[in-house]
Formats: sequence, C-alpha cells, structure tokens
Amino acid sequence: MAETTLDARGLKCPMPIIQARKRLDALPPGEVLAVVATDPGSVLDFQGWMKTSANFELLGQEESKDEQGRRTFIHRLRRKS
Amino acid sequence: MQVSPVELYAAIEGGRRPSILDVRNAEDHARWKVDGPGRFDSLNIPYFAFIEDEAASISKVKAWKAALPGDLTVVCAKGDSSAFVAEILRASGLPAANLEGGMAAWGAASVRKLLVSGPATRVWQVLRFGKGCLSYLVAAGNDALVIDPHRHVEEYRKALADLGLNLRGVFDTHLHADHLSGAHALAEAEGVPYFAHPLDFAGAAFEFSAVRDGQALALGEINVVPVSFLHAPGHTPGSTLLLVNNAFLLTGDTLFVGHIGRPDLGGRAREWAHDLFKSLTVRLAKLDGALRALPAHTSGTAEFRADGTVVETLDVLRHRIAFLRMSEVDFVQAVVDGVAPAPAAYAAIRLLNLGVTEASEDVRLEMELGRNECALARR
Repeated sequence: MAETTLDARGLKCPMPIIQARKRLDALPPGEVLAVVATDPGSVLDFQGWMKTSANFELLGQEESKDEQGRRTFIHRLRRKS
Repeated sequence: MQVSPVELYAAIEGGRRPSILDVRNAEDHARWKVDGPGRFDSLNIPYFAFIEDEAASISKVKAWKAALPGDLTVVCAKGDSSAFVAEILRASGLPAANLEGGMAAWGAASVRKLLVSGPATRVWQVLRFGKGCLSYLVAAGNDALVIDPHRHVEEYRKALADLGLNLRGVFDTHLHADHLSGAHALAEAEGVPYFAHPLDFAGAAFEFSAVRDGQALALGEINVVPVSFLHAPGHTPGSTLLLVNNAFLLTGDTLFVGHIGRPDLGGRAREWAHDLFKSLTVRLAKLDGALRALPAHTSGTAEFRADGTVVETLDVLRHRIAFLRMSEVDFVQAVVDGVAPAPAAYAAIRLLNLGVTEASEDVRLEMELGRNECALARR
C-alpha cells in the first residue's frame, strides 16, 4: 500500500488539519497519508474530524518519538473507497 | 479583532450576554469551557468542521447567531484555531472576535475585587475565574499579606504597587494539588517570609516559616494585621485556617461556600475524613458565626454574590452545607461514597509546589488546564 508522509511537526492547530486536507484532496484513491504531528491535541482533533468527514477515513493513530526525542503522533488517513 | 479573557468575563458578569462559539473538539469542550455568573449563549462547532465543509459550518453559525443579541467571540485551546475561524466568519460578513490565548489564557487570567473596606482591614479577592481559584490580598494601613497566590505573581506585585502597599508575608493555606502556587516565588521576589504548615511542606526544597496551631502573628510596624493559625487537617494533613483581625476566616480548601474540601486527594479518604470531620465540627464550632469565610476555591456560579464575589458568614454556611450537621459516621460514609479519581496532573503539581521538581512553561501550562476538582462531589 502506497503511503506518503506529511511532516506537521512543530505546527500548531489548525495547521496540521489544514495541510492534511490539502494533501488528501490531491491524493489518488487508496493511497494513505501519514500525518506526523507534535501537538498532543491533534489526537482528538483528527478523530473528531474523521468521524464527520464525508470523503476521508482514519485508519489508525500511534504515538512515537522522532530523532530529536520529541513526542510525535502519527495519524493515518485515506480517501474512503 | 481580539477579546481578552478579562473582557469576556466582564461581558458575562455585566449582563451583556455574549455569544460564544467554541471551536475545540467535543471532548475538550465537554470537559472545560467558558463559564461565569451571568447569561451567555454558547455553541460548539470544532474548527475542523470549517476545514471539512466551510459553507455548511458558516450557515450553522449564522442560523444560531441570528436570534442572539450579544457580541460573538470564538474560543479554542490556545487561540490559533479560533483566530482562523473568526477570520472565516468575518469574511462571510459576521463580526467575530477571537479570545486571545484561548482556554489556556482563560485559565490563567484573574480579576481583583474589593470585598470589604472597613476602618481596620481591607480585603481584596483575586478570582482566577477559569479555574475557580481564589486568593487574597489583605491590608491594614500600608501593610499587606497575600494568601494562596497563583503562579502569575506579577499580578500581585502590580496590585501591591498600584495600591501602595508593603507586603509583610505570603501564606499557603495548604499544599495545593490543582494549581501551581506562586507563594514561594512571590515571597522570595519581595523578600518577605513564606508561611506554611510543616505537615504539608516538610519535604519542600526551599525554606519556609512554619506556622503553629494557635500561634498569633503581628505583621507590620505601623499598622498591624494579626493573624492566628488554626490547624485544620482533613483536606491535607497540614491544612490551616487563617483568622485575620478577628473578622475574616481564610478557609483554604477545608470549607467552601457551598461545599467542603475533598479529603481523598491524598489517597486516604477514610482516615482523612475523620480528621476533616473534627476540623469542621469541633474546630469550626468554636468560632464566631459572624466571621466571614473566604475560601480558596469556588465550584460553581451559584456560589457568587450579586457583586461577583464569593464570601459568606460561618452562620450561613452552617445552615447551607449539610456536611456540617452530620454525625461522624454519616459524614465519613458520605465522604467515602463521594470519592472520585484525582486528576492525573495533581501528583506532579504537588511536587512542583514543593520545589522538588522542575518543569518547562509548556508543561506547567498543560498541567494547570481545567477547573479545580477540590470540592467533595455530591452523589
């Protein structure tokens, strides 16, 4: 499965979701977008957005650490089939 | 277009019935939101709904706002997403202001109100409205004390300077768990003693002046503010009431104007409940009913008087609060039944208040989010 990454580290809301929306609109159906964010608030916000989204769905979320040791939150999204 | 937390609070309190659009997610909105003693209208549409479908979201806001009289303010966690939404709304022709700094700023801001200006003593109540935290500035002549200050100590320093007062001492009524104390920092900055009870502060990384039960202190040289300490364990083992000029009783988190303090935050509900019972009945019963109780928290807008302050005489509280009339057996059972989980950040806040740990400003801000949960829940 093809996956592209959107680096949203260091961005404050609403930017991660604004940028994710732009990228998703341009992505071919089936391709997964992995949004990497550092804002802990992004977890509930991506969940909330995907619950009401007409065209996109949330595949999963995970917490990780980046190479600088920052807490990161990875949100995987794709266009609904 | 920006509105500060103090301006929004004044609009609620002043009867201007503001319209508040909260653009955080539903979970965060349900947990903690703008509130105050007055009428306002509110609606929750998350900012991501505007990104998902801008036109539909604007229509929803316009339909809601059409029948409402007040000015519209948009609110989010830190003020960025709300600025984004306010701009979208303004572009669509709807005047909308942004709450500057969001809920983080709402939780940090405070207003100061003169409670009483008698011949001997003046008392100001500093209300941190977003968290429901109350602190006090007490003065006689030019001498002043500060009790239970929050961490934004520059506000107290400015008030002291504006009022031309000399600070003589700073107190914590107990080791706070719901918010970060500014008491030690304020005392250090002003070069005055920091008074606290050793049962709560024995593990502190800094020096403090230990208060002793029944001990009276006279602070200041020209005018004297006598303070008596009354040890009242229960909410915490070191909880202390402060009797000021025999007219005011600083009740800390032992007694609020509509509730009593939780004795379960230290994890020993039953044991501390017995202590709290004795403090509230035996100890308080001996005190004059005309004393005005000044609590360290408010737990709801029903507790406010018409002038926006939170204060009642002990006589009123003895009638109002059922816990003060219970038998010890019933009291302890009611407390144990009311035990609720302590918010996750409380243990870390205690350690910071003892000065034994460090934290960045971001972490401090994060751990202080939300209203205090220091009053006993009524089930």
